[in-house]
Amino acid sequence: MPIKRVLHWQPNAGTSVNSQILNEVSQCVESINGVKKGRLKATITFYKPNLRADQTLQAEFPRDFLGISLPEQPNKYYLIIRGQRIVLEADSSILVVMEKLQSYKSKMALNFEGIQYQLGDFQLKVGKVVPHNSESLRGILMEVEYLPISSIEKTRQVMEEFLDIWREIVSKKSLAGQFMNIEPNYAEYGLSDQYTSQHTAVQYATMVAPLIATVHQPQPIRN
Amino acid sequence: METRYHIEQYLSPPFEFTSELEGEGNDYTTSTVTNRNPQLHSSSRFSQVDRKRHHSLFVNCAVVLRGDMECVVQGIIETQHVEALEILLQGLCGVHRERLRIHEICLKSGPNLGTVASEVRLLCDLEQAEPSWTVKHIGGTMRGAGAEQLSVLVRTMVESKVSKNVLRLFYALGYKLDHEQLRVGFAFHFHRGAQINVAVSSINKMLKLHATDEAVPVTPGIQLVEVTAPATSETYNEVASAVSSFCEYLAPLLHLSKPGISTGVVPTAAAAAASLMSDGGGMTI
Repeated sequence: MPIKRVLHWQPNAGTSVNSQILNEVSQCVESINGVKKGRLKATITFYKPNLRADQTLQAEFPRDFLGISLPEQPNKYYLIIRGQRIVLEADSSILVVMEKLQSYKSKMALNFEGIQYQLGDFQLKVGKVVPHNSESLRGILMEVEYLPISSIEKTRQVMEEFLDIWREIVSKKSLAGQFMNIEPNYAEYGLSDQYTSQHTAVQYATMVAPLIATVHQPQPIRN
Repeated sequence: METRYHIEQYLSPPFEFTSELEGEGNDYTTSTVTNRNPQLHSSSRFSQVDRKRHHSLFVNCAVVLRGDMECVVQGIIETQHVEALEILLQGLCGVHRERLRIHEICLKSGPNLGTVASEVRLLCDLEQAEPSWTVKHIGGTMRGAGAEQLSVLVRTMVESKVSKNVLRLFYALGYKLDHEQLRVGFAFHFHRGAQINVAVSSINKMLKLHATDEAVPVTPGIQLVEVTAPATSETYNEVASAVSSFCEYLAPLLHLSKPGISTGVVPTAAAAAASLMSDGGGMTI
C-alpha cells in the first residue's frame, strides 16, 4: 500500500483558518501541474461513554476514543484510543455492534472533504475539515501519498524532499500559516514499517486532536 | 498443524490489565430490527426494543448491512456417535468438513458503562495459520406468537472481523472478562435452501486464564451441535423452514431445538450410528 503523510494547516498565532487559504493551497497544487482525479471524504467521529449513573466516573473511560472511515477502505472502520496507543481495524459492521452495545455514543463528527490530484508518482489530497452537517470550516488537511513504495523508512527521504519543496511553493503565497506534519510513533501502536490504512487512521487521529479544542471553543471564522 | 497461540501477545505493552471475573448475569438485549413480515407483524417483537435509541449513537457513517439476524437450533450428541454424525453430514452436505478450534471470550460492560448492561463475544479462530479475530454480538430474541410457531430461534446477530488487538481495545473501553471457552470440533458450511452452518464441538473450559493448551471438557462425552443460518427481517421465515427441513435428516442421531430447551440425547442414536457406520457414509439426498 502506498505510503502517506497527513498534514494539517497550522495558522499563525492570532489568525484563523479560512476558505481563502484553502483556495490558495488548491491553486498551488494546480500550479505544479497536479491533475484532478476526483473527490474524497473521510469521517472522524469522537465518542464518549454512555454512563448509567454518576457522570463523574467519566474519567475512568477513555476521553480520546475515535472512529475513522477512510475512502480507500469503504468496508472498513478504524477505532482508535490515542491515549493507550490502540488502533483497531474492523469490518464496517463494527459500527452496528457498537450501536447495539450502547456503551459509547457519538459526541461529534468531523468530515474531511477534499479533492484528489495526481502528480507523477505522488498523489495529493487537499481539503477542508468541517463538522458533520455543517459547512463551518475547522481546518485544512492534506494527504501526500507516494505511490511506488510501501516502506516508511525507504520513502522517508523522498517524502521529506517533496514536503520541503511543497512548503516552499506554499510559502511564496505569503499565507498566515504553514502545513505541519507530526509523524506518530507507529511502533507504539504495534504497526510495522510496511504502510497500511491503520497508519493513515493513526495519522488522522493525531492530526485532529488540536481541532477538537477549536470545535469546543467556537471562534470567529471567515469563510 | 498446531498453531502456537499465546493470547498475551495480543495484550502487549504498554497495556496492563488485571483479570476480573464478574458473576452477575445481567440481561442484555438491544435489538432494533424492524419486522416487516406481515404474518408476524402484529404478534412478534424483539425483547426490549427501543427504537429511539437506534439512530442516536453510531450514526455518522453509512453501513450497508446485508443481514443481521440468524436462525439457530442446538442439540447434543454423545461423543461416541460423532463420527457417525460426521458421515451423515458429509453425505447430506456434499462438502468437506472444516476443523474448528475457536477461543471464545465473553466480555460484559463494567457496572456503570452503557445505558443498559451489554455483552460482546470475541472469537479467535485458532485453525488459521495466523489466528484471526471476530467480534460477535448476539442480541434480542424474537418473541411473540408468530415466533413461537417457528421451530427455530430467531435472533439478531452481528459479526465484524477485526484486527488482533480487539481484546485490548474492549478492556480499554471498560469491558470486563465474564467467561471464556474453547470450542473444538468441526463444521460444515453449505447451501440447502439457505446458507446453513453446522458446528459439532466439545466445549472446553480453561483452568487458568487464557490457557487454551490446558482446556478441559465441560461435559465429557457430550458434544454440542449447533445449526445456524444467517437471515434478514425479510427472509427469516424461509430460512427457518430450510433449517427445520435439514434438521429432520439428523433426527435419528440427535434432536435439535431452540437454545435453552434441552431435549437430551435421542434413544435411537446408537442404532442409527451403527447403521451409518456399517453403510460407510455413502448416503446422499
